[in-house]
Amino acid sequence: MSDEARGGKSAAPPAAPGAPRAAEEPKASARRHARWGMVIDLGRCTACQGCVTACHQENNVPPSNPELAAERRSIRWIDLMPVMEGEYPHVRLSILPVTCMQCEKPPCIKVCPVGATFLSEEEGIVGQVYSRCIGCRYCTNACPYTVRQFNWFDPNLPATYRDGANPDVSLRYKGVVEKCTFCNHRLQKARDAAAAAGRELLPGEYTPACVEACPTRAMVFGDLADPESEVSNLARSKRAFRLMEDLGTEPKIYYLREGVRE
Amino acid sequence: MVALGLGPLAARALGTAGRKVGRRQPLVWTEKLAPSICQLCPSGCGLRVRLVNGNPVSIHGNPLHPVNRGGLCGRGAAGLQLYYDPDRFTGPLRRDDDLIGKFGRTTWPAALGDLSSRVRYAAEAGPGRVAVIRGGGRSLASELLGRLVRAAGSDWVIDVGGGAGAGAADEVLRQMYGTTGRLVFDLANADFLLSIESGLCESPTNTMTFHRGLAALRAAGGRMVHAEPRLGVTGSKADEWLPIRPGTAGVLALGVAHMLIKEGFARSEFLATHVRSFDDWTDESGATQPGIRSWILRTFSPQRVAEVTGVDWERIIRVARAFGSARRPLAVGPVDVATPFQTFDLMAVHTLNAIVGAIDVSGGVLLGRQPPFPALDAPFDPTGGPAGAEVARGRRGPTLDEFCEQVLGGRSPPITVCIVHEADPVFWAPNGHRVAEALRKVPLLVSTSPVATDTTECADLILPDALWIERRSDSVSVDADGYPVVAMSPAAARRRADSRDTADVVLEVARQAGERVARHFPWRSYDEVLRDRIGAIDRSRVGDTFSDEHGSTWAQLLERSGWRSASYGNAEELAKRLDESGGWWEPAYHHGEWRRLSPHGEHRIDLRPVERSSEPDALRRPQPPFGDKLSLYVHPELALGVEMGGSLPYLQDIGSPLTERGWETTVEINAATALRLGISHGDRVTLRNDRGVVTAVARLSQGIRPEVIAIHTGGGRVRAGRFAAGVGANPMVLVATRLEPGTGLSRIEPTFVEVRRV
Amino acid sequence: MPRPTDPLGPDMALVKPILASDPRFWIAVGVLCAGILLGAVAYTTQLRKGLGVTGLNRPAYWGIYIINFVFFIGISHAGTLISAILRLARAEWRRAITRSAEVITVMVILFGVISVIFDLGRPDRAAFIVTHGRLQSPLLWDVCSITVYFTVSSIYLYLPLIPDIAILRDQTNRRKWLYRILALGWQGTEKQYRWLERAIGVLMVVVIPIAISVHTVVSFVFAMTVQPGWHAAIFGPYFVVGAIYSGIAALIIAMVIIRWAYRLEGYLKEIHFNYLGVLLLVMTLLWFYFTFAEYLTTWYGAEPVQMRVWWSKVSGDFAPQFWTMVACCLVIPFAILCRRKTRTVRWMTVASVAVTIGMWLERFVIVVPTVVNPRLPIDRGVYHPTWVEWSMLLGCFSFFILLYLLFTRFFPIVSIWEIQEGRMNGREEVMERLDSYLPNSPAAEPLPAAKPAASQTAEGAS
Repeated sequence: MSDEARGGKSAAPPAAPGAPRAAEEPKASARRHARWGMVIDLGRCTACQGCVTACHQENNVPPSNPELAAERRSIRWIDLMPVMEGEYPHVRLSILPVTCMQCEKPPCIKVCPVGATFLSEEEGIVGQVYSRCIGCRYCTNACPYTVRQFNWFDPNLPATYRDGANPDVSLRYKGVVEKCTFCNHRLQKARDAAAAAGRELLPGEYTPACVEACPTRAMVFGDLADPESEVSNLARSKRAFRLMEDLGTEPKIYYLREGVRE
Repeated sequence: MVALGLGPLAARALGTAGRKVGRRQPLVWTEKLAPSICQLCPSGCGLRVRLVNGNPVSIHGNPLHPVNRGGLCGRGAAGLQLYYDPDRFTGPLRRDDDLIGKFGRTTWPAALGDLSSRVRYAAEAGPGRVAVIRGGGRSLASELLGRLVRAAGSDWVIDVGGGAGAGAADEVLRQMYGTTGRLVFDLANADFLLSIESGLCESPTNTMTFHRGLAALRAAGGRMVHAEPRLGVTGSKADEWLPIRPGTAGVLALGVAHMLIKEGFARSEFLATHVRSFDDWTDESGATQPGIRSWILRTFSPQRVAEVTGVDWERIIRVARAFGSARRPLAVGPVDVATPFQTFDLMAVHTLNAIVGAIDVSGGVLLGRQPPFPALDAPFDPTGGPAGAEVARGRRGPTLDEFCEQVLGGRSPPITVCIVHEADPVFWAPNGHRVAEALRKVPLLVSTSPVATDTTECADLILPDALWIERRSDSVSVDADGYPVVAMSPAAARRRADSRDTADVVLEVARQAGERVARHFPWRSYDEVLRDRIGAIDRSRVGDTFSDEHGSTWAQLLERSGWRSASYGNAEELAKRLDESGGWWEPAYHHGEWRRLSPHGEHRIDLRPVERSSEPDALRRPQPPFGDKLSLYVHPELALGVEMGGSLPYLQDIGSPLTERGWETTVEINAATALRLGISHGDRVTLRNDRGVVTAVARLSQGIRPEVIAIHTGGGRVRAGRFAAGVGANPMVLVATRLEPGTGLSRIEPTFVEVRRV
Repeated sequence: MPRPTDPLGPDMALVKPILASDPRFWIAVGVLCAGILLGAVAYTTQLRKGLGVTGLNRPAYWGIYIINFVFFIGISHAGTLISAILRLARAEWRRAITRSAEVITVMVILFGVISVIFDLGRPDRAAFIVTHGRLQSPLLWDVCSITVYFTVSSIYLYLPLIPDIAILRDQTNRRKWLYRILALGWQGTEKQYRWLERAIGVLMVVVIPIAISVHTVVSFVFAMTVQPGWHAAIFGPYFVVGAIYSGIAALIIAMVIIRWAYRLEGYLKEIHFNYLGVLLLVMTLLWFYFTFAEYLTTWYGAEPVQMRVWWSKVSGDFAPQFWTMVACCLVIPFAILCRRKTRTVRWMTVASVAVTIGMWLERFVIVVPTVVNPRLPIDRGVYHPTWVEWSMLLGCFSFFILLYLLFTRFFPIVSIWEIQEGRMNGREEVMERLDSYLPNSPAAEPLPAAKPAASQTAEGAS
């Protein structure tokens, strides 16, 4: 890997706020701002971890190894969180897939000293600019969900694996923070395809890899800004809850409780 | 502030920021999605492989495939790592003389010539000299291998796909249902599931069917009670967890059955028409024979069952009442967990299902419908006599233990050639060292594994199979709601190694192995066999190629009403449609069909075998040994249960879903027990008994019986690629086996271990 | 007003370290360089391989580097703040100790900043904080306030140094060129003195809020997150008190060493230590008060997430560190300092070393238990620092001591002119001041024009 590629030289230049963008894209103001979100139905989720592997493959998340795992340095963009309640023999176990909550008020963004992480205004997605990140790990500590991951080393992959990397997503390098981007590259591709066809993005054209892979349809993805979308409907259900709602981070990942009927 | 304007732009930059992967990648790349079929478990999920400039970069589900409908479990996508595995065999290998585990390159013609001449000699020398050990895969290669063995006049077709619990389900079918095939659980349509040590979610086989079925059950508001010594992923789906003692699944099932009978929940109409020997009956001589009903009432009182299983009798009664009053109750037994009394456990569960009439109804036990072409590995008379399933019905297949006995006992006829396909018995079997010894003793042991395993270590010849995404692949499955699904697809990606399809290898070997064998293989290539099958499907005039969900629902509606509107008119069109859609299926299950299986027209489930299979030990409270020992409960984990796995680091990552880390074998200990033993969370502990020692990491839990220690399989491979060798520990070294008296199958023995902190 | 005219005379002892060579100095330099070298090796390893060579992990994202950052910035309060307060209070006993305190400040801030750089995954991008900085981030507040603090502290160290440099320039023969440049043409005229005193007067007032802001903002790095154990309003003042506390302890240790090494018993007397001891005692009690308030409210509120962290400190994995901290920061110093009899140089050294260790542990107990007990009940974290982090800690300390040592070899560590000024004018001034306090004394009437320095202070304070 070249030093140039590692360094911050390819950093996105800071953009002037607002006006020039609107001038470039006259339609931008007309276009509704999306709020991409996800609903995970715990009643349907069977913890098969299809989402985990699909995500990691899609996003070139390097697999771990025994040493990294023992040191708790495996990188997981999405992971299962088992929650066991009660005492033997009356115990209940729930397993929650946990990923970046894509908060509407993300505590991680506030603390970033260099603007390496941001909440995209148009999409509501919390993004991470690897070429900007200085690796101070303030965001990882500020995130109450502990879902931000840090590259403690350069990924140690066999050379053969490189041929199988997804060209849409950049490989990360040591010293930067990474996290779920809601497969942002897929959104861009879907957008481009829609634009090439001269139409707006249709529901269902953009889904992250985890949602696509979910065999039990436990994950539903869509635009929360559209009150009639499936996610919006599910998010309003009585079974819906969000993790640590009381913190006011307004996550855009909703869960549906298992076993509660409406 | 700079940062305020950064957001939108950075969003665009996200795709370009940082280092681009694949630096040799041209700026413009070509992309396509090629269909394939996952072979990591017998589900045979449809895949779509994303290729960029010819390199596969990701694996997705095929949305048309009825088994997975675009979804994939944790293993599916990881299959790519086998394709890019740096430690894959690059071509055929031959063992260096006298050196075990040392291999040198050979050529395909030489290797195949060698194998076929040995098969030929064996076939000419007499029957019973060729053997095959197969994993659970349901592809043509497996069938052709079975056929090769039978053509060479041998019956040694050993299926080890079910692991240590193998064979029990076949016994249930054979003894209780009087048929062969596969039992399918219509989980999606049940409204109360009693799952007893079922391992539905941990099961490494039929993953997709179980998971999707369970999700549908729960989403529709179905209730679920799960009984198992530990609370795992399957238990997490349940409304209630019954912590039973290990090895008491059958007793619990019959305890529930007892309550159902006693409280009048038994569906007498079903029992009267479809079940034999439930009530007392009169034999030909006029003597009254006791039925199963009285045996259950006599033997399985809630108090007794509570004492054996360790669960409060109030809970058992409550669960039984809920189960009995459900509209569509269904009980599932140990399908993929090895238990000490597996056949009894399964038969007890099926007895329970029979009592509530949950057989061959929506939301009950279904009998998988076979596809419209014969299985190529069905037993036949190689001399040309009448072939048939009838011969097979009364006979079960040979077991791995019998194979070892034959080889190590020096019995005649000697097995001179053995082919191991999609299996790693040395690693998975409880008596691995004995299996290894037997395999080494076979004069020619052939492995088709594409990666090193503990079994390839014993091989004389390694003929690496091509991976599913780099060859024409196929799969026959009846597990999705009981209807046959035949998936076929062309090769998706180019080959990375000098490997060959095992199906082609078998055909080539058969051709060279002399007329005696060759005449049973009229095909020149894999493609020709498939073409035969396509012809048979076309002629059957049923079913259709895969279509999207709306199309499938429509086809189901049509088929149920006796109509059909196929998307193809002839075999050629069918072949084309198969390549596009990924396969063919019969979209509806016809209830009542299984009864026609009987030669006598009227078919009944026989319940007597459950009593026959109940060993006295199975009905007693398990006796713990003296001293401070814990009962060992061995269970699978979905991600680690891949027969040939280990070389997939993503699967090591997600190995045990209840722990954070992966890449190690964890044991679960009840927190109170751990406190007593001075073990804290994350400690390394040793599990020791007179058979061996295993070191693992302790996980303290409230969700496990206090006298039990649970350990998962899938760790501790000795010979494997860089990602698997030495990772975790193999609990099988602690487990002893014994022969089940009724069936002759080998079963794990109740195992106790001493647990110490390292 | 009389000004020191014969600069040296009795105070020759203060320039001796600059003039005479001492084998002990070279031994010390050798030992310190070895420590620095070890730190350098550790950092090179970290740069080459990545932060994975440390004991950090998920969720223990922060460890010794951040602890060092807080600790060093805390120590820096030794100086400027204490000297400013003592100057402001016109405590006459300050004269011998202000310089050594101010030097600590300036030197140690560097290591606070460097510790953060060590903590970065991408130190090559550290400049992004300036070029792409976002003021929303508390880290940026740190950068701003530390920069200002460093600048002001440096000036505050430099200004009172000028007359001394001029003395060195005029009275000694070594490094004349250097002292000539640094003396900025100081001639000791009345006008220059007036300006100097006016500038010091302004600075000492300005530096106090800056110093307080620095450690408040350092605490904000933690307090602004919603993490259990961090998100507390008390953190600002708590950190400031802790900083001053550790600062005084560090100052005492430095003074003990200077006094021993350069035989300055005549300047740094038992009475100085006694006074500083009382100050340290006050800080001990203040620190205890804040700690008590912090822990009591958390315990009483008994929020589960908070209590997980709380128990991990009091009786869990971090109990050894926690109770050592309590012993070092409360029990030992209080036992020593509360009696006049034990406020001797020797016992004070023990107390100060204990406080320094205790305050480092306090930062450990603040940072680590929270990061390994995140809100989300994922697998609990562990943090075991590796040799790299310990080496860097050693390296930082060695480097700091080396810089301090070098300073004492270049500049007088006790302010010569202030001592002389005190000797000449101090008594008179104190008497006058005392008179002005007393009722019905002749000097009770305000004398606005008589004391330029005093009026300057009054102006600055208003």
